[in-house]
Amino acid sequence: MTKRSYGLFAFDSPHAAIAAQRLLVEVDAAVMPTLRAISASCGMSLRVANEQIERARRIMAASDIDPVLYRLYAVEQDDDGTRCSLLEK
Amino acid sequence: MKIMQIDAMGKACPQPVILAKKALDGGSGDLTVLVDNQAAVENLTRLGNSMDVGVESGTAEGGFYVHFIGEAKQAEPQAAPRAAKGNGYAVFIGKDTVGDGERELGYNLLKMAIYTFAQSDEVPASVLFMNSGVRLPAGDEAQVMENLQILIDRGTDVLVCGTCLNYYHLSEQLKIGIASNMYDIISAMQRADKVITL
Repeated sequence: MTKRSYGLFAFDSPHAAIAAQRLLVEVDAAVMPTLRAISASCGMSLRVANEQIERARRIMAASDIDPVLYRLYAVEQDDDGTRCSLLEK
Repeated sequence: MKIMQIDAMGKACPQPVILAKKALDGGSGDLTVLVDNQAAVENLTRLGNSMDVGVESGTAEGGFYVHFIGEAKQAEPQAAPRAAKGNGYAVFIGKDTVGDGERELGYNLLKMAIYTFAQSDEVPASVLFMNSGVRLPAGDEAQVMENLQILIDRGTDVLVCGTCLNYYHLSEQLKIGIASNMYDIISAMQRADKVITL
């Protein structure tokens, strides 16, 4: 597998994910199933490119979406598997 | 050698292909088919390629002509766009959401499903779009295009119903995949070990 890394917002509810999706259009967020490694969330996540993480973080912080409803992860995937580390929001 | 012309102007997909195939199966060695849309030209060209006859096409009065040259091989009962690649599985997408219910959720589920197929170890042999499902390959969602391109690069045939594109006035907007017909889409289902309907 090619090495890939990106930021991933995981949500407690699909309603929060869809609300965030509307806001994160401007950073080209892509919807994807929540990674198996992240179990404590709903099944819908939003992926953003590494270079857009800071901007996405600011958009989310300025939004009406309650910060308790989502978490932001740094994801790395390669032949050894998938690693997710929780980032500060 | 028999010389034959079929006027298929105004005939809906897949009628031009059915008529041409019947003529070629019957031993017509020099056949010209007149059609009124580009999707039909592409379908007929694939038919000729699958039957190993030469194909020329161009514009004619009020539409296009497709000229088949040479005796057809005794063809498969149904024209396939490409040789079957093992059996594998087919994915049928007959609408632009997964399931019924809230549309925004259903559309996101469909995008996630396409992403998951693209990332899976075993990609589908074919992904088949019909009815409102054709809005995805004719749409402007970068994520959908990216994942369909990954599937194509990994060997998946992406076939899009030409009649449906026409119905929704999207024939000119198709961005990825092959504008196809009922023949090819059903044939892809029949070749597959299983068909997954989303």
